[in-house]
Amino acid sequence: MELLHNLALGFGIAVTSANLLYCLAGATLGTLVGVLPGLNPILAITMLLPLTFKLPATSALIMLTGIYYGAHHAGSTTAIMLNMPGEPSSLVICFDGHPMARKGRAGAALFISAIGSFFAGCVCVLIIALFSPVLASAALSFQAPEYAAAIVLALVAISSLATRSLISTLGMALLGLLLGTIGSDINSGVIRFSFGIDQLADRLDFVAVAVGLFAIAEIAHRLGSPERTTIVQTKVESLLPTRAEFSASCKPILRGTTLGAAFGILPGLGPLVSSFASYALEKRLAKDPSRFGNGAIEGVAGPESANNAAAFTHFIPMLSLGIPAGATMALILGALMIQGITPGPQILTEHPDLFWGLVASMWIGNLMLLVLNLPLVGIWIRLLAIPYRLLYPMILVFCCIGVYSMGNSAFDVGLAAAIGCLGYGMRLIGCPPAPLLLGLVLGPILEENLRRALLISRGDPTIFLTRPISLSILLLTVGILVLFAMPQLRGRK
Amino acid sequence: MANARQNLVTRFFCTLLVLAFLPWMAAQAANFPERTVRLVVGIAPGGATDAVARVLAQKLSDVWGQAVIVENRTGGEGTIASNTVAHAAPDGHTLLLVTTNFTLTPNQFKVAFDAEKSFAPITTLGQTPELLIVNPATLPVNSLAELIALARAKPGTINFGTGGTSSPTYMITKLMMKATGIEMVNVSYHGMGPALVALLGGEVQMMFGAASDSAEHIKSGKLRAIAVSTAKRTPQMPDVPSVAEAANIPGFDATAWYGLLAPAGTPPAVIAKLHDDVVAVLADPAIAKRLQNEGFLVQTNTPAEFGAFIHADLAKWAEIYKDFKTQ
Repeated sequence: MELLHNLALGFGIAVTSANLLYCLAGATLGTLVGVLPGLNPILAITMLLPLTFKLPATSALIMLTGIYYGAHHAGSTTAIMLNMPGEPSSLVICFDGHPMARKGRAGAALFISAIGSFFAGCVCVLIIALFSPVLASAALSFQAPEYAAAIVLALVAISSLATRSLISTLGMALLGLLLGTIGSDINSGVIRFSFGIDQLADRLDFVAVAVGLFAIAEIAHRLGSPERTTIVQTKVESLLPTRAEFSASCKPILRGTTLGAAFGILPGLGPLVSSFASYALEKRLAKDPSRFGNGAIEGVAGPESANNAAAFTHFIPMLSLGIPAGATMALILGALMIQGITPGPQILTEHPDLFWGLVASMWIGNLMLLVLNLPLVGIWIRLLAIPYRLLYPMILVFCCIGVYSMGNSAFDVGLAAAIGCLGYGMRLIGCPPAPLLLGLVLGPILEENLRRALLISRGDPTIFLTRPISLSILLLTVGILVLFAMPQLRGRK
Repeated sequence: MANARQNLVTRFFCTLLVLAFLPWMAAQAANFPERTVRLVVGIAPGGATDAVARVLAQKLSDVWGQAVIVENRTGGEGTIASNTVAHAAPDGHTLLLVTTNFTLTPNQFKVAFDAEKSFAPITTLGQTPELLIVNPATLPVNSLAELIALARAKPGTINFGTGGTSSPTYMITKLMMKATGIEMVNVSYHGMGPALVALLGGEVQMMFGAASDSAEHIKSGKLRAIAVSTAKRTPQMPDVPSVAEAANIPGFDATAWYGLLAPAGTPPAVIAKLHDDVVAVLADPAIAKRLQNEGFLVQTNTPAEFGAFIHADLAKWAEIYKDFKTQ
């Protein structure tokens, strides 16, 4: 009953004409930066930040969060249409979304990803509303040993992404792990592998690497193969998914949402990792895993729901503990604090209008995105009709702006170009780039948490086995390994 | 003799030259700024430093009628930003907002600028006092004296969280450990946010952290503030004693501070105008209040005082680093 009362309060705030407008503005802007590879919500939020000083706190929060989830919602569009993720977290959608587009099922892929995002969004907003404080304190029991174990599990799961050869997949993941060691080591302050270049004293910029590997390399690859520069397939029969496609997507959407919601609560992990995990899970559960990589609708539905679910539950640590789970969350937190509101355990009692107004606006924003995106499906399809000689230079420009804006650093643009060359070379010899990016993200988290766990146990490795959560994750990892090895062992006999 | 006369003549013409340029120099200050001003920050958007920069930039562009753009040049603990400004044109149109890292990094690794000679100080902007907070569930102490007694009884058992070995919080903890002769173990995190999670979860038992980040948790009783790192108590938490008084270490004073610099060689008249305008903006109580929400206490001084402060701070950290090397 109290929930209904609170929701009524929230909707009362979110449905004022001004707040609806801010919500729409945020969601639209988010869609825009989400669709364009390279441009990201961090850029849009930073630019709008000074404007929000003059707004009421709730309106500012509604608009800024709109940008954030709008971008996550829309990142899959270019992944499906052009094989370039609009946001790094939509990378997984390329695997099957783009092959679907090549088969003329782009409309279905876009439709399912919009529905999946919407469903995940609705469920997770409900989770935020009902369980925020409980989940936030539960996440606190997830410490260094648990993080280390979870990363090991994720790395093992990557190997199931191998489409052609396990060796090249693992090799690329390893290369990513190695690249992840570049930069200063937080335990000792020593700067590793920077070769005296100041810009390498921190880690390789993640956005620069993602843009290089996926946008620049993809463009180079297309230009290199003349038959692919012509439009692949414009015979789009129907924008709607077939009944079979629809029913095949239901369970992956449910599973993706659950997975994403769980991952999103943990600061540091989140949308990218959860979408990979969802993809691996769907592939493992599929009756015919060989369909994956060739346009399996489950490979779009699951990861896209996971991505959006995680994007929403990322708010939980921020709202209930005052701790940002990622760079974008840190910005939104900053915007709130400058208004004199410190999110934390008391937010529900001290600022109920803000909390419930936000929750309601997320629901409304989600609906707006669905309404915005479904009619747009027809327009996005026409993206393929734009001649590549116009489309590609435009995308490259946006990529450069996006990469440059992260640290106002020309070095990063050069880095993206260099990584682009590497990515092109990798495509030529058939090495998948996705495991590299995942290795780059997970490597530093693994190293940091492994060393931290051992530091806290004063060097005793049994810390991973004596803590129940860490132990169960490790047992699960062993279980997956055995599952992997079984068919191969049987085949040998 | 001829030499001396020549000298005199040279001096005369030099003086004339300077006199001839005086109106121009004055005009330079009067016309300043003539175009967009860049305020370079070595830290990513989000957090107190960025907030100060953005509030300052917004107000200064209102005052000057020229755009003031915040440019976040991240990397190398702020050294990339410092380097950019050290080698920018010394005309006041490129400014640098620095924090404690500015005096730490030259002690840690080779940098391509001189923290004193490459810059012209304008003013300090303020400070964020660091609270010494403990998690009472894992470290049931009520005062700094109790913490010190416990750490002495069981050396090397208490974990403290920091934002890495090159962060101000690490240096402040080291400074306190040196002054009290206690031994604790550092656990590094990427930023103070994750460190706060670790403190709440019990992974570390204590840390120094900004009041704004932990205030809510202190209010709810999950965390306990037992001291503040500044020389005097902070108005944000008047009940919390300073480290100096609680542990009887006279002169203990270490906070995260913020200041504004221009490249060395910027005309003194421009520095004076920058100083006056920035001080005037920060004197506005509404601005001070807004910044206090981020845990930031406004504090300004003269260019000469700021210069002397940088000199002393460099020396303070050099002392601590000397200890590291001999260890």
